[in-house]
Amino acid sequence: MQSVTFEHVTKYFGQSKAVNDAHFKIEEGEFFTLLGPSGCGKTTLLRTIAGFYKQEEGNLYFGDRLMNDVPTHNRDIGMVFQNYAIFPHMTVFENVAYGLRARKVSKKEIEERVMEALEMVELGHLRDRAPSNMSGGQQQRIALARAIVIRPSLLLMDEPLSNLDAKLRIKMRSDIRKLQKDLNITTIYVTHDQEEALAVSDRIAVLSEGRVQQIGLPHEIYSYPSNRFVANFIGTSNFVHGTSGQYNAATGSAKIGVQGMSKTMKLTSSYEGEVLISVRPENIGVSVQRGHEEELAGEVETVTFLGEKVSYGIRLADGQKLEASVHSVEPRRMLREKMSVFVDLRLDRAVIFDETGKEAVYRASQDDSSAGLETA
Amino acid sequence: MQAKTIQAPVWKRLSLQVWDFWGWVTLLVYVFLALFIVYPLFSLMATSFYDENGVFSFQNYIDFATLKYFRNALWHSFAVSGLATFFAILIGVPMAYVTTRYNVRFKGLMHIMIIMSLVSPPFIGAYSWILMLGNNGFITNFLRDIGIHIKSIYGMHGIVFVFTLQLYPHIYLYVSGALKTIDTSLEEAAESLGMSAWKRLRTVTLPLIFPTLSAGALMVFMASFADFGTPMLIGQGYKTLPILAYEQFISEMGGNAAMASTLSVVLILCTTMILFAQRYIVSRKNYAMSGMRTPKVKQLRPLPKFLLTLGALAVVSVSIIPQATVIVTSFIKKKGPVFHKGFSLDSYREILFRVPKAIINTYTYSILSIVIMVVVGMLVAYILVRRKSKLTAAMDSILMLPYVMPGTVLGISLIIAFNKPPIVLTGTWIILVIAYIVRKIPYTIRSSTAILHQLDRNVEEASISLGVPPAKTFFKTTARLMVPGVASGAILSWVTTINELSSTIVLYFGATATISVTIYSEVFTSNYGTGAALASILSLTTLVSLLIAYFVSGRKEMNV
Repeated sequence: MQSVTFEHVTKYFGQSKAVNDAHFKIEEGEFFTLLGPSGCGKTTLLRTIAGFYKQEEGNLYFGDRLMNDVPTHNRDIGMVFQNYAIFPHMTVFENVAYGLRARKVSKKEIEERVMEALEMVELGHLRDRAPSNMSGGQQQRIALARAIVIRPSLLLMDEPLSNLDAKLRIKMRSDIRKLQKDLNITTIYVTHDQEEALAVSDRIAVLSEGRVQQIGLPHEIYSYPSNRFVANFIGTSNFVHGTSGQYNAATGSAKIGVQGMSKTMKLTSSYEGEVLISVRPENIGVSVQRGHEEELAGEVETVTFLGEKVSYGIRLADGQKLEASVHSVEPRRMLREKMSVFVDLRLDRAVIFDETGKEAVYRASQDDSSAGLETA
Repeated sequence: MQAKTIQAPVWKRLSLQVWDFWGWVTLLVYVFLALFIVYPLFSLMATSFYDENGVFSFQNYIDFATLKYFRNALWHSFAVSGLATFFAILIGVPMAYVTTRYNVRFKGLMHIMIIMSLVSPPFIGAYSWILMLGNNGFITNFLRDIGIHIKSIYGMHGIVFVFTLQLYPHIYLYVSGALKTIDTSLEEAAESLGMSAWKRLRTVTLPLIFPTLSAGALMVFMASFADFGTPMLIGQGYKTLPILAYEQFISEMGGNAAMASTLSVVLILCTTMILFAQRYIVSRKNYAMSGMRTPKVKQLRPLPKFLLTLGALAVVSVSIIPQATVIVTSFIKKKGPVFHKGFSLDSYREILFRVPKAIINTYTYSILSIVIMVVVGMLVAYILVRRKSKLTAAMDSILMLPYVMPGTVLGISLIIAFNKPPIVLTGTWIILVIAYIVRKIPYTIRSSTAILHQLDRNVEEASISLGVPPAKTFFKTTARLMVPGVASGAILSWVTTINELSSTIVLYFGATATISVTIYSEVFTSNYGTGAALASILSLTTLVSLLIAYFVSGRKEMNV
C-alpha cells in the first residue's frame, strides 16, 4: 500500500504537453481513476507512474520516496494492460508465477501464492493450460492474477475492460472493485468510460488535453462539475445561455436571467455578464400547465421511449433546445410531439458557469443537497 | 506563453542513469559500424585520392575518365546488368502471373525449384553452363560431333544469359507476392468498363504492381552489377567493374590499391545512384491498396492448362539445370582432371584428401558468423523498432551501406583499413567473419524488425513491471517470441554466407580458403570434378537449410 504524489508533473511529446502540470495526491488504499477522452493524457500519466515514461518537469513520489529516477522494474508495481499482454509462450501458472520467480520466492511459496491468486480470479482449474486460446475475459483474469500475486504496493490498470464485451465488463468491474478492497492495494485505473469510472472509483480525476479538470468523489463529479468540459463529458448536460447581473457584494448574490425569467442566486464569485447554465436532463421538470413563475414555455419536438425512462427533446421559445428525461411514466401520460409545455430548469440544482465555461460561478453545495435529502 | 525547453540538458541526458542495457547495446553497435563499415569506407575514399607516390591527386579519377580500358568496364557493367534486368523481368513477370492467376500444376515444386536456383552459389550457374556450353562442354561437344558448331558461352551474352536465369526469381517472388494481394475489384472495375484482358493488364494490373516490380528489378540489377564470379568465369575478355577492381587490387605485378579504391568508389556511386533512382520513382507511384478482395485463381480448360504448365516447367527446368549438372558431374569417374565413362566417388575422395580445410573453414566461419548475426541482428532490430530516435535512424542508414557495396569493394575496403596499425586483421579468419556479418546481417535484421512490429509491446512492459529488468526481459520474453520470424531472415543470411565468394576472394589467404574460393580456383585450373563435388556440398547444405527453415517456420511461403 502506497500513496502517490504528483508535484507539478509535466510530460512533453515533442512540443505538446501530454500531461500538463499534474499536481495532486492519491491516498493509500484508494481506488483512483483517471478518466477522460482519448488523447487526454490519462494513459501517459499512468505510464509515467509506471516509469515507462519520464516526466520532463516536476516530481513523482511513492509515499515519501522520490521516484523520478527509479526504473520501472524497481518500482514494485503490478500492471494490467488493455490488450492483456499475456506471455503467450508460458502456461497460465507460469504467467502468474513470473513476477514471483523474478523476486526469488521459494518454489513452495510460489505454488501457494499462484494458486491463491488464480482462485481469486476463478481460474485455478486452468493452471496448466496455454493462454493463447482462452477468451479475452479469461486472459484479463490471468493478467490480473499476475499483477496482484506479487502483492505490489501499487496496482496500475490501463483500460483493462475495454476489449471485453458489455456484459462481461460489468461483472469484471465489480470483481476488480471487490478484489481491490479485499487486498487493500492502492489502485490507479485508467478508462474513457464514465459509467465504469463512476461505478468502481473512490475518487476520479477528469482529464482533458493533458490537464486535470476536476478531482472528486464520483457523485461530486457528476452533480457538481467544475467546468463545462466535465459537465459535458460526464453524463448528459443541457447548456442554456443566460445572464448574471445586479451582483450584490453584501449578500454575494446576483440575478440570473434566462429568457425573461430571473432568479436571485448566491454566487461563488462576483460575476456579471453572460453565463452558461448546465442542467442535467433528469433535473428538468416538464409539465403541461404552468406551475410557477420561473418556468419557460416550449414545445415538444421529439419523444424517445427508452424503457425505464422517456426522453423529450424540447424547443424553448427562443429556439434553444433541451433534453429532458422523465422516469417511468405510464404510457398514456406520456407527452406527444408538438405539445406545448412548461419547463422548470430548477436552477438551484444546476451548475452555472461563466461565459467561457471554464469556471463555475454557482454550484449547489454538497451540504445543501444532503440537507435536502434529510428533509425529503 | 512560450514553450519551455523540451529536452533535458545534455549532461542530464548523458548521465549514467539513462545508460540502461539498450543504451550500451546502441553504443556497441555504433562502435562496430564505425569500425567495420564507416572507417573502411573512408579509408577506401582516402586511398583513391593518392597516387603511387603517396601524394594527394585526382590522377586516379582522371585516369578513369580518360582511359578507355576503365570506361569500357563501366559500360560493360551497365550493359550486362541492364540486359539481365530486362530479360529477368521478361521471364519473371509472366511466370509470376501464370502461377498466381491460373490453375497450372506443380506450383509448389516450381516454387521450391525457383528459390533453389536463386540461392545457389552465384558462380555455380556460370560454372555449370561452362561444363555444358563451354569450349569443351558436353553439349558443345555433342553438337560438334553431329556437325553443328555453336558459339560458346564465353562472352557478354553468356554473362547476361547466366544472370537472367539465376536472378529472375527475384522478380518472380516479388511480383507473385504483389499479384496475390492486389485488390481485384480494381481489375473488375476495368473489366466492367469494357477493357480487353490485355489492355486491362497493361493499364491497371501492371501499374499497380509497379512499385513491387521495381524493387525486384533493383535486386536483379544490384546483384548483377556487383557480381564477381560469373563475369570472371565466363566473361573472359569481357571485363566488368568488380573484376577490374579485383585485378587492380590483386595483380601479379603488384596491385594498385589506389586505382582499385577509385574503381570501388565509382562502383559505390553507381549502386547508390540506382538505389536512390528506384526509391524516387517508387515514391511518386506508390498506391495504397486495401486488398480486401484478392484475386481468384482462374480455372483453365485442359489444353491451355497443359501448355502453360509445360511452359512454366520448361523455364524452371532450364534454371535448375546448373544445379543438376554440377551434382551429376561430381559423381563422374575421372583420372586426374580428365573425365571417363561411369560414375565414382573419386572427386569426393579427392577433396576430402586435398582440401578438407576449406570445408571445415566454410562451416566454422559461417556458423560463427550466423550466431553473431542472429544475436546482434535481434538486438539491433529491437533498437530500431522500440527505441526509435534520430540516433537509431542514422544507424539504420549506415546498415544500408552494405547494400550498395559490392562484395569485392567491401573486401578491398576492409583490407585497406586493416592492413596497417592500429588494427591489423588482414590474413586472419576474423576479417572474413567480419565481412560476412557486415554483408549478410541485413537479411536477419529485416526479418527481425518485421516480427518485432507484430509483437505486442505491452508483453515486455508487463514483464518489466513485474520486476524483471529490461535486458533480462528481452531474453526471457521478446527474444523468444521473435525466434520464428527471425528464422526466415537468418536462413537467408546463413545460405548466402556459406556461398559467399566476392569478398572472400579478396580477403582469404591459403589457410583461410573456403569452399567457394576453392571451387573458383579448381575451375580456373580445370579441375571440374573436384569443383563440382565441392559445389554439390554447398548445394546440398543450401537445400537442407531451406527445407529445415520451410518446416520449422511452418509457413507456406518462403519470402526471399
